[in-house]
Amino acid sequence: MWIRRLEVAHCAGIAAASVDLEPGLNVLHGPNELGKSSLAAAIRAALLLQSQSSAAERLRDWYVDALPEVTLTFEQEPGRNWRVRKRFGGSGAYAYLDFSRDGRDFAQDSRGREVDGALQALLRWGIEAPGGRRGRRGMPSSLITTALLGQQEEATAILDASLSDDADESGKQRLTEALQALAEDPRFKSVLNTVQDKVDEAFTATGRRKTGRASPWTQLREDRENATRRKRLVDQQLNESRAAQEKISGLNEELTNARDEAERARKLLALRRDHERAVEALREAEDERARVAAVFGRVRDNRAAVAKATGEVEHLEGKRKERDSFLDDLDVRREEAQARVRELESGSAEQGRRLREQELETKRAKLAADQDRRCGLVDALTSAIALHAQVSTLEDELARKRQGLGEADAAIARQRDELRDLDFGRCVVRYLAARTEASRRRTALDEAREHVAEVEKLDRRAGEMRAEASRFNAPDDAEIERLRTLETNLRIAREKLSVGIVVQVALAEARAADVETDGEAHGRALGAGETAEFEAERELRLTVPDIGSIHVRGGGRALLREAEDAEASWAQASERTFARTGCKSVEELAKLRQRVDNLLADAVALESNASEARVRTEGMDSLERQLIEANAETEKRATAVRALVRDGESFDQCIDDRKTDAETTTETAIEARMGQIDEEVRQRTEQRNQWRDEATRDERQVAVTNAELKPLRVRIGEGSDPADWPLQRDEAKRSADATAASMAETETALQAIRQEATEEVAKARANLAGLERQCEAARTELADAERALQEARDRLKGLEGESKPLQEAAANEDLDRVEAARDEAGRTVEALAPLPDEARDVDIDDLVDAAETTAGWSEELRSELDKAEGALEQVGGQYLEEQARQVEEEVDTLDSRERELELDYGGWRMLHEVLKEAEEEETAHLGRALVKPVSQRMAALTGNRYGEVAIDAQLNPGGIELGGDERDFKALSAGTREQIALLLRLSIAEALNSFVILDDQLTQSDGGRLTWMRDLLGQAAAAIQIIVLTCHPDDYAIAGACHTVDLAQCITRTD
Amino acid sequence: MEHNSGDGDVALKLLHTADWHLGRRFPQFGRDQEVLLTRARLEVLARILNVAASRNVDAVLCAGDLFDQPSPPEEWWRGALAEFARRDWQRPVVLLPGNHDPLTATSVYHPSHPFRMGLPDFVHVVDRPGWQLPIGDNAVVLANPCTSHAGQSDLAEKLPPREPGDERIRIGLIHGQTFDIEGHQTNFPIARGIAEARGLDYLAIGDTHAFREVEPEAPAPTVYPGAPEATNFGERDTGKVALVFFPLDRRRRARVESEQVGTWTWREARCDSLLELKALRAEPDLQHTVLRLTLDMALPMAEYDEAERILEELAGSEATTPRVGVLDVRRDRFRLAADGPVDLDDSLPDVLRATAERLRLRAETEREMAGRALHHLYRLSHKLVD
Repeated sequence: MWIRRLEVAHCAGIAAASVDLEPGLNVLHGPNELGKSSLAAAIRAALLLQSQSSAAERLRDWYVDALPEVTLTFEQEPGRNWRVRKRFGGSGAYAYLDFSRDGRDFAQDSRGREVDGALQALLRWGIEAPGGRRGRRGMPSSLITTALLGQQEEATAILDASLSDDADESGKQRLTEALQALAEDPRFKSVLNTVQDKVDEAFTATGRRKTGRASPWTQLREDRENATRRKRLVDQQLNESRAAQEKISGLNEELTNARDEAERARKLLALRRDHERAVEALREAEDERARVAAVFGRVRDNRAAVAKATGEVEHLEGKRKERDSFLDDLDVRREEAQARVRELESGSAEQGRRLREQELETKRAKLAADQDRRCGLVDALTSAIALHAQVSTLEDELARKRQGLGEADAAIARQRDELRDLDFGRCVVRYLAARTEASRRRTALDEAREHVAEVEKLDRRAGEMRAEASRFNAPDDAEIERLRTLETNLRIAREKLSVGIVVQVALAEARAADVETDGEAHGRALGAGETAEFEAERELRLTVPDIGSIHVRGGGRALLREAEDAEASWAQASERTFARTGCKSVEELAKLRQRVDNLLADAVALESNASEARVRTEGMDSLERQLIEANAETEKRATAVRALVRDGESFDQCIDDRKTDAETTTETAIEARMGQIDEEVRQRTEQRNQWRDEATRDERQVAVTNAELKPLRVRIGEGSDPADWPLQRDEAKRSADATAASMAETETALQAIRQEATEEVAKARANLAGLERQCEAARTELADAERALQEARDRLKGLEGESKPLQEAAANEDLDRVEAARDEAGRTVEALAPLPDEARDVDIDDLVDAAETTAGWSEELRSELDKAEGALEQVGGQYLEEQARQVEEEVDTLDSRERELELDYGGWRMLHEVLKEAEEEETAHLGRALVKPVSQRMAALTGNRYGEVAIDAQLNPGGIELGGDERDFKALSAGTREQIALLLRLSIAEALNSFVILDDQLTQSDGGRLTWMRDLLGQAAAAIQIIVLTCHPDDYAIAGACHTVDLAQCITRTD
Repeated sequence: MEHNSGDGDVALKLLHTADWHLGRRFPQFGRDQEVLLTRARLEVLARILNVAASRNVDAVLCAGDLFDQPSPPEEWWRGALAEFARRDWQRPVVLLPGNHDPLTATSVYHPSHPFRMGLPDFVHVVDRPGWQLPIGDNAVVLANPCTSHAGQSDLAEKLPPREPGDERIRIGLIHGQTFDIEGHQTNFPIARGIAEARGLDYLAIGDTHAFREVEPEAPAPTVYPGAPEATNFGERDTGKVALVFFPLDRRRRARVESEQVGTWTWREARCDSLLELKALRAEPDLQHTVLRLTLDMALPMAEYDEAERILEELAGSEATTPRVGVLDVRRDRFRLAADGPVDLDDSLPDVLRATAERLRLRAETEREMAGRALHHLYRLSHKLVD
């Protein structure tokens, strides 16, 4: 920063002054009271003092009724020139800040109160902007203004200044930046830049990982994502594979167990059947032996009965003969008694009585014989009726049991039919379930395929949108913003040209003229000698044929050039963009950009949707496998159903017929019902077998009873109906009772006749009667004996009748054979292996069920094993294990790489962070940056008499090292103090790359140090502008190396 | 390798190879190194076919896993096609699908695949169960392909038995695992004694990557030729093909020789000191070595930097050729001993030394990261001084 020119009017005794300055050393000299310090004050006022400030009163020239004016032109940096124009005081005050690139043509940047704000913003000297909080009165000052604009009377003021006194932080900030740069070692800078580059490779400004193509994380992240994706897929497949392998392993084990179980069940069943067959054979052999033994027993019994009956007949025949003989004796005695009676009764009445008595006795004997016969018949009928009733009862029971057997067989057959029907239903249910499952799998697969199609569609649409967005060639936001700025610049530049133009034209002769005002063309007639006036905002072109043309443009050359530059920049920047996009304005470009952004946002949304849909397509391979398995299961179930379809019935018809029932039940319900029926069949079978055994026993009893009934039938009459036997018995009883009554009547009549005999007769008769009673008793006994004999003969005859069939039956039997067979069956039973508890204590049907169930279980497991092995072939097995190991190793490697990258770039970032910390600590102490240059120069100035200058963090100098001790500046000589102050000010100006005004600074220095200082200023002036105000130009002027200004030639004093 | 000098009494000569794993990826290494190793599988194919030509074998049997997957990237099957196309042969080359490259509708072996369609006439693909190929009048190759990645059936058992009166040399060609691999889950198992049971004179099998004769005492050899180039660390006896000589005297057993064709060595090394690392650097001929190097050492800065420079030399850079063909460094236990002083040149700015001191303090709690930062600083500082 350097001051180009200073113009002053009516200021502190100066009526007018104009000084042009140069970069480098400027020595402004003049005699005392010329106004040198007024010039310095004018510079301070121009840069620091508000035009309305009351502090400006000090600038007023009391001898002139005019307000002080200062115009200061300075270059902030190449291409940035500023001009401050201020008039101080009252209502006439003004302030302008103009800008120029070339230092010649200025354009107004700001005016009024804005000027001071703008100045403080660009200078950043620690001066508070107008309206600030502190609102200090008087000439504003800060450490920087003290250093750069130090007043003559305050040559050492810098030694007492401190940044902490600044009204604004801007000065400290600027000094910090400047001194940090000053303190920064280029090698440190080199290291820091390298580290920064490394950090920038990997991290954004906010410390996040970079995501662009060039980022070291990007490829790693993509590789990691790809590897993770692959790993997820392989892990999933591997899990399926391992599950299949585990399933195979488990199924193999189960299959082995199932086969062992089936074999064991089969063996138990076979053993149980062997046992049952042997026991049954033994039981049948024993039954047979018992039957044959019974046959022989009956023959023996018959023989014994016949022998007994024969003995009885013989006994009874002897008894009858004895009674017969006894009766014959009695008859002889009776006949003798009768002869005695007849002798005694020789009369006719007696003879008639005797005749009646004889007739009655004959009748009584006949009745007694009838009575015996009828009583025997009654007894036979009573026995036959009882036996017949017993046979009927047995036959009824037998018929009932046979009917029960038939019903049980029919029920078992019906239940077996129902079982077959239920099994059919179960197959149908399983088939329908499998078909439903297959359908569900198919639906799921179709949905997955739809998702794939959706993903492709979304990807395609997103691609189309991106392509469409790309076709628009839309500029990015930065380019649009740049165009908008250029357009604004152009508009502002054009506006600046709109200063208003008025042109007056007077022609000697009348003419028609072509006029173009601000781009609008129109004609106008100009009268002779008439003054025509044309107005335009920025441009006017007047053409008078044959005479010439005038082209007037507003704004001056600088503004025109600025407008042309803005036009050229705009054209250069916009033409290509407009041509590329077909747009005609920035707004259209913005709309186009918005449209493209919308398309890209839509594309991103579609891609996001595609990603979501893609997630839903995962596992499609698994779905396809599941569908294949479900189809195979369906076909297997269909095959099972087909095996049960009846001839003439179609498969589909069968399924349709049973579908409704199948849909209203479950496999579990069917199996429960089948179990229930199985149990019922088992119970019925047990009942049936019991009935069958009982029926066999009843049949045998009927046969025995019929055999007993047979002789009774012979006695009753072979052809008689058993139903008539009760009637016959009743009739026989009645006949016997009637005969008994007749006998009683005959006896009564006989007694009456006998009463009629005389005493002798009666005695003879009594004798005769006694004999006759004896005869009667003997006859009765004889009749009894004959009856008993007849009965015994009948029994004997019956027994002899029975003995023939019994002997014939016994002749066909071989007791030895059946006993040998029984013994053999017994040995067979004993020879069998002992039956285990589980085979002995359960029903054989349970053993059959167990054998069938375990065999079926084995078959099902074999089928499942085949499917599992098929599934394993699909998913990969060992191949997948290898893939998994490979991808695992890849992920591990990428993890390791990522750790290494994190460590490496983390190291760079930590190094950067620590470098900055160290740098900040080093430079936070602003004084340290100045200690070195000031101390070195002071040492050089004083021949190393003084050591290091102490300057604190707020740039407040504390003292200087002398002889190993720190000396307070106040303890130094005035000359030394002003020399240290100058060196400090110079160093600050160098750090800020700013001009510095030295207003008679070295008044207390000796010649030697003055010369040294002059040389130092000459060297320093190579980098900064130094303005020396002095009345001793020779002390500073360096021939050919400085710009010397004789102020006497530039200043017009008021007085 | 001593070549057979008695070919005169040989009835038939075969070259038996397997497990090329063309197109196999090695993502655990860097991209360039991965390509190097993947290409090595194609390069060894050329050497295998050269051996077949130089030994004038009657047939080349390739026992599966020739590709690493059923549908490898085009580059690899085109490369294989180019190798076959360079041969103007009559001797048959038989390609057997293995469990890595099973015969499926999308595999390279399918008749519609450009690889299959591009194969010259002398190359035959085992593309159905019960596949047979007579070699001359006195020999026949019998083969069954893998049709899936995994299977529990014994493909050798499905080979037809020798018919009465069939006096030809019968060679079985199968991909699978013999039961004698302890602790290994069998996939496509091959039963013991199956070669004899099927009336084979030689059973050519593939899957295991080491050259190995199964049941060396059996009348008919059953041989794994192994992978011609190793695919991972820990694989032994790789890099070979089997040459099989069937004597005219049919009572004699076929003779099997191995011949080296692979060039790469897979090696795992460990260095516990800088000295060992220097010794490793001094080893010659590491250009065809895949080296997994595990470092277990904590070194002071200067030695740490030297170790890093050796690692850079071994791995190579854009400017230097790598000393090791493929290098995989495991540096989990390789660290800077940051508790000692960090020697920076006195001429360096104080702020750099202050930075080093700060990092050294941070290394007490953030050892690895601060150590790495210190090393970066050390490197940069040395560049400044140099």
